[in-house]
Amino acid sequence: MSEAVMHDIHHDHHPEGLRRWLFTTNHKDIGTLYLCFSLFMFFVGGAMAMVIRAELMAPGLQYVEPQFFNSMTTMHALIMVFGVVMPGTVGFANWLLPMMIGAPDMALPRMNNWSFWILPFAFTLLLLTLFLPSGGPAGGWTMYPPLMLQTETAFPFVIFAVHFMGVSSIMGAINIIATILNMRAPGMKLMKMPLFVWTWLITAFLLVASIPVLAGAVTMLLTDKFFGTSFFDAAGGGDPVLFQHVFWFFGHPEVYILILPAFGIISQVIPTFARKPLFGYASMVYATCSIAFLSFLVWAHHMFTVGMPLAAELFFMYATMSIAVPTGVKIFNWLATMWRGEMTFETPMLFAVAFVMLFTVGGFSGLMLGIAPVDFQYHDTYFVVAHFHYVLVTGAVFAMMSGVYYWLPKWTGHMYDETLGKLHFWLSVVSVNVLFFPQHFLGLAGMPRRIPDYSTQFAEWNAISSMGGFVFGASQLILLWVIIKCVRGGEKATNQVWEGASGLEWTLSSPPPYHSFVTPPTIEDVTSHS
Amino acid sequence: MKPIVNNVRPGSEQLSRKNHRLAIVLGLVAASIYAGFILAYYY
Repeated sequence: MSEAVMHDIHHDHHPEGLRRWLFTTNHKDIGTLYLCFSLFMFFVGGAMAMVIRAELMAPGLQYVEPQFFNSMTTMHALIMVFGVVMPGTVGFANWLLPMMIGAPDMALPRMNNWSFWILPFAFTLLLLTLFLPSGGPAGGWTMYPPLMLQTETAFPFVIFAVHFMGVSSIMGAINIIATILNMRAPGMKLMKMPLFVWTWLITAFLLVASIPVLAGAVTMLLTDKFFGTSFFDAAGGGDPVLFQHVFWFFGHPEVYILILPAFGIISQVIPTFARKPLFGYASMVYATCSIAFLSFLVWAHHMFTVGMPLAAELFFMYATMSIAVPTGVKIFNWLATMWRGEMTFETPMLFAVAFVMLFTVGGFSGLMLGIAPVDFQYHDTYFVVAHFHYVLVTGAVFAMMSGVYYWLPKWTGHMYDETLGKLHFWLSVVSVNVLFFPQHFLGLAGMPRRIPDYSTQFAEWNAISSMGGFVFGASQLILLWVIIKCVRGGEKATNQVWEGASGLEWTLSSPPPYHSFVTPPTIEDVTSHS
Repeated sequence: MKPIVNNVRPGSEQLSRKNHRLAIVLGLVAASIYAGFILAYYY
């Protein structure tokens, strides 16, 4: 081994200042970049949600033009899906996967740098459309033609931004697969990996298989708009419904791309605070694989109302129902892990328990929407909005918050402020239910989604929902404060941090050295998936 | 060029080749799905 290499092993040398962050190939630095980006976009997307809720506080047009309102719903969704949850979970993956499997870094560190730095470029492109004279995209994040083709100057910006987000995701996914398959420490067999690693391995395969489908769909939109093709134009022999099929063939696996890493985080947190090994590890792995496989067979439940043959409606309905089985296995295993455990309720555990309860609420409303004849009533109503916000906010976002509180002491070397953490949790969990639960009632009563104005019969529940939204939005400033406070100082964290924590990442110092596991760890000593 | 950290592993050149091979295969899979969908609908 050359002297230069030995030098690198023993010293945490890295460039300082901006150069460190621009040119870094270190998985911890890139993880931090992803997480900071995700947090920043959370507040950008959140500000748009505040505009939406302010407008919907009362019937009639209050503050913004309908076109701008539609831009807000479109941008809020694109930002929260592609700019918050996806980069956030990739941030967790970057920080934790190498440390969990005993690898020194990601398999392809330079590509890792590219995967991240494409994102700010893509989102700048997307956000700048709001300053165009004709405004930002307003056709919904699903970009259905022919509505989306009516977008004016913003159209090519959005299409290119989505392509770049896709390229970033695919490169990140390839890196994760190569890291997990090739870089595990000796003795870290697949069935010994922590569940977070498993969920990310499966998610990465979902990304490689589904993101190109989205890219294909938006490329076809682009050629329809500018190059004279008629993929989705009925006048030229195309079919607008084709876009919906292609989009949701991507879109449903995307749902699991967002939630599987969240399942992984929860499967790390609950055993730690229940002080018991995860119940049914193997069944958790197989359930995750089943969910991923089934996610490619259910896409048309998003479009029951387009006029499909009855056989197709039945197929997609029963296929959708069948996903409840592996998901139920997971919920059961989390409950069984907690059963008779010596539980304590620090902030990460509070968010994890809230996740299990509230994600299940979102799961049940998903089952209701999966019943084809019933979906004819619910389709495109606020019931759908309530459903996917339970799954994504009290699901994916709560899991990420649980993960942030869980690993923050490891990342920073300081304990966070538990009182502020609990305040953040209780304010969030109450306000998020005030925000989203009434939307079930609004949807069942017939209020359509994506409208700036509504009938006066919906006024009360909308006012309550908006008030919950403002409190939830403001509560997130506490999270920001907790993170800043923790980074700047605080009680010194031990290596293990949590009494019940086990796994390779907890054997490293807090914060871990810049280069960790330059010599492979011994796996036998660590119960990796407890 | 400064060595990247995973080159410090024994047999790391082999590992690096293995990583790159896998990345190329997965990249080709993604590119084929992308092109396949567009071409299938075009023809």
